[in-house]
Amino acid sequence: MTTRAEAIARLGSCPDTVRPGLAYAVGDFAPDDAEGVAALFHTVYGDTYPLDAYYIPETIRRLCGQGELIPVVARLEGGEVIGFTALYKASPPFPGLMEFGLGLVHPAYRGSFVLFHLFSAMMARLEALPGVEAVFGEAVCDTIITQHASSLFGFHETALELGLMREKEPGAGRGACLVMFRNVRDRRRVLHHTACCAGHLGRLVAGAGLDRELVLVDGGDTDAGPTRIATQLFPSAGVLRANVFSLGKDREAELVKIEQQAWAEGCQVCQMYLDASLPGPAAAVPLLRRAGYGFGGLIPRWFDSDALLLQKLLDPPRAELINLYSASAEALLAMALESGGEA
Amino acid sequence: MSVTAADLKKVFAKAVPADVMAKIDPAQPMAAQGVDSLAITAMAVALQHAYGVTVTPEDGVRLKTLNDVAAWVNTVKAAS
Repeated sequence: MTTRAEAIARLGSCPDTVRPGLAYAVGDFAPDDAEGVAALFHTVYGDTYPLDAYYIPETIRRLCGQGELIPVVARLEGGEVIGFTALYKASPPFPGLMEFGLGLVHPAYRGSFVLFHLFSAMMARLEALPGVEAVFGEAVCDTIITQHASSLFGFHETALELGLMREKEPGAGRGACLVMFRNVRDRRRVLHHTACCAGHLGRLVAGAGLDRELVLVDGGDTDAGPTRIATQLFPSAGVLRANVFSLGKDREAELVKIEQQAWAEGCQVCQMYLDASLPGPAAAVPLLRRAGYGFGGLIPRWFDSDALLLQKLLDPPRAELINLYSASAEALLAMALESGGEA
Repeated sequence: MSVTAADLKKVFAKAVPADVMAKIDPAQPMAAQGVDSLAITAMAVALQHAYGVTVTPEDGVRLKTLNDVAAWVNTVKAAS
């Protein structure tokens, strides 16, 4: 098994043969592209890209073979890979919801239309990809360009994750991410909610073109079964995310435990993703808001069913550093700020 | 009526940050003036929406400046 260090050493010893201004073609990833993809990551990021997998051709091939990575590449006639984008399995519990977030272009082709052709090819393939039911991206809000480009490819903003990214430099503030969603195939679903977020949810559901039956629940409702929560810790980001599948009568104590775990792990942000297909998780919204959580929006298809995002930050978000491209995204920010969201 | 570089600047207003767009010399390569791949991607989609034209990989290699893009839009529209 090749290590990251071995792979980077090998890539560093290979000359970059890419020349500018040549014709290119865009197509599905083929196993023989893996070496070119690894070389592209090395050219663009040097040895700094945090995930080992993209430096190791056999790992790239394995991930693609397993359907965890679905790339589209741009190649020169000689086979050199000059552009790459991909859907990948990230943190959603529902494997049919894939993240769209990688976009690399060789420096000799920056300022060209390669990325446009990669994104267009990926979007054109979406409906034919087996097992892909929806896609989402997290657009970092230090610039509006990603948000705008995403919207042009049919993505709709549905949530704002405050403080998701570590600050780039001291005093810069933690970065927010706008969740942008595009459905591929779906059906009518029940979306439980409480009165406090009814207006916002109606707007978000309509904006994303979702077919949902909005069902109002009482803040005291719990599920009949036991509480079931799975946590995901992101140490490099300082974020703990709890996927709340169901909440029984012990809900308050269990939610407090999760938050205590977040702060004990040194996190700055605690996110609760509440499965809205059941009344119990949705009914916890008023409880969480009283505990200082803000309503961040809707993450469609997170559990296959939709998630309500509640978030709590140790430090107040720096709203003046959050750049948003649309009135609807600005409304998400106002909603997230008005409903609390800081400890 | 011909499409001009000034028209394109209006079409691309959301695709490229305003401070970058204001300084763009239509005769110079966009890449050298702070227009990155993501902005060019948004510009390409904006062209589809505004003029119904799609940049192919073959076209894309040749379009370096805003003037190139304006001339290309006019050629494609005239041929359609």
